[in-house]
Amino acid sequence: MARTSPATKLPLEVVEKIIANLHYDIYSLLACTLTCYPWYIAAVPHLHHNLFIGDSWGPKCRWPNRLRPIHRLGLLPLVKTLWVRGTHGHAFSQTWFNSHILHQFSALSNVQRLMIDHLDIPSFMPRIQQYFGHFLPTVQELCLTNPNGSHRQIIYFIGLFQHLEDLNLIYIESGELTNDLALFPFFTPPLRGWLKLTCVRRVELLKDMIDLFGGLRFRWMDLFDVDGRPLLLGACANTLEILRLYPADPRCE
Amino acid sequence: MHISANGSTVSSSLQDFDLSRNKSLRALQIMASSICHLSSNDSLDATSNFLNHTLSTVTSPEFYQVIVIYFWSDFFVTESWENPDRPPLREISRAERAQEVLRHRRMFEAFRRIHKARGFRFQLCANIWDPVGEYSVGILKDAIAEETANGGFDGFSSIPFVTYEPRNSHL
Repeated sequence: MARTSPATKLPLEVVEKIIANLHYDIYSLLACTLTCYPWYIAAVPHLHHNLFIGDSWGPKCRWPNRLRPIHRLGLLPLVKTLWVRGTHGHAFSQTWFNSHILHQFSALSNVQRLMIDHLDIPSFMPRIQQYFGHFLPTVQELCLTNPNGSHRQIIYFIGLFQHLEDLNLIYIESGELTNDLALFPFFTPPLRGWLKLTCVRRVELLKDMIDLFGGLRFRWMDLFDVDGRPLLLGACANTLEILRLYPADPRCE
Repeated sequence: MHISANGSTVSSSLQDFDLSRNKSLRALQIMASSICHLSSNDSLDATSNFLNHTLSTVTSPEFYQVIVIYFWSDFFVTESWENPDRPPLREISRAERAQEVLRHRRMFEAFRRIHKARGFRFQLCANIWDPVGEYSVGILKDAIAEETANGGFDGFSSIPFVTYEPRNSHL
């Protein structure tokens, strides 16, 4: 008769705590999933914590192939960090979706950190909530790299996330698309965490954000190559606790 | 750069770094990479002048420390970042480790220059992907210990200390 390992007799809460220490060790986590069902249950959330989708990470990570197997196994709700990488010639747009893909994408119901490169906001308008609505209750951190859209569209997108605390905008060059002044954000997110701006050249975007969100309340700021720095420092005069400086910032040249 | 090597000229855009209105400011952060890779005295001068200027505008009563942030890329042990799951780690020889400690000690010269601006403490924060964490914290602690033994922090109100904030990925 096969002997049962004493490890399998440990309470699940204890197993979870032990396996959580392997959070960064993918190979050990994979080994745990093959041990027994309780260990599988404890290890699998750590294995699927991050989901990266983009051509630059190889064929396995391509959209929508990356979503399918994880959706089939019912694991998409375990994803906490989602990074979708569009590219300059292939922006993340509404054309990436059909009804099946949207169904799979909507299963990402617990994402807390959402990162999108080359998001083409105009292509999702006006039914943008149909595509991103499932993120609204959970996303606390948003990172947009090279988003395409007018000031109002970018602010509208940010304002979709009612619990958003942290905001990271990268490469927003000057040059304005037609601004839709009738577009107002759904929510005023708390935005009390950190603001990270890298190569942001649209002062008007920052002004609109301050106006439409009724001021800014960030406690932590990281600004590199940003136009409108005094505006942001002034807007957060009473809340800013930590500022990250870059001595090599081109703005101090 | 509009800051001259001897610090006599201050660029008008430095006015962008006026922190006199920020009354809740507790700390400034600097990326280690912006100090570690300074190759000449001129660039060290320019950087310390910039930081001195910014520190001189701080009026917050809460202000007490300068935090230097280290990423995994500030250490020899990792070579590539393109693999999203696991960057390659490599073995480090004793000689390379000693060289790495020495390289980090060199940036303490910048600490000495900006410490004159006002009293505050230095925190070296390793914000690093977990598998590299233990190695990088060890390097920083060794660099501080060697610098302290050589009197590099004489006159400081407190010796710089190391903290570790693990990241759940190296990206």
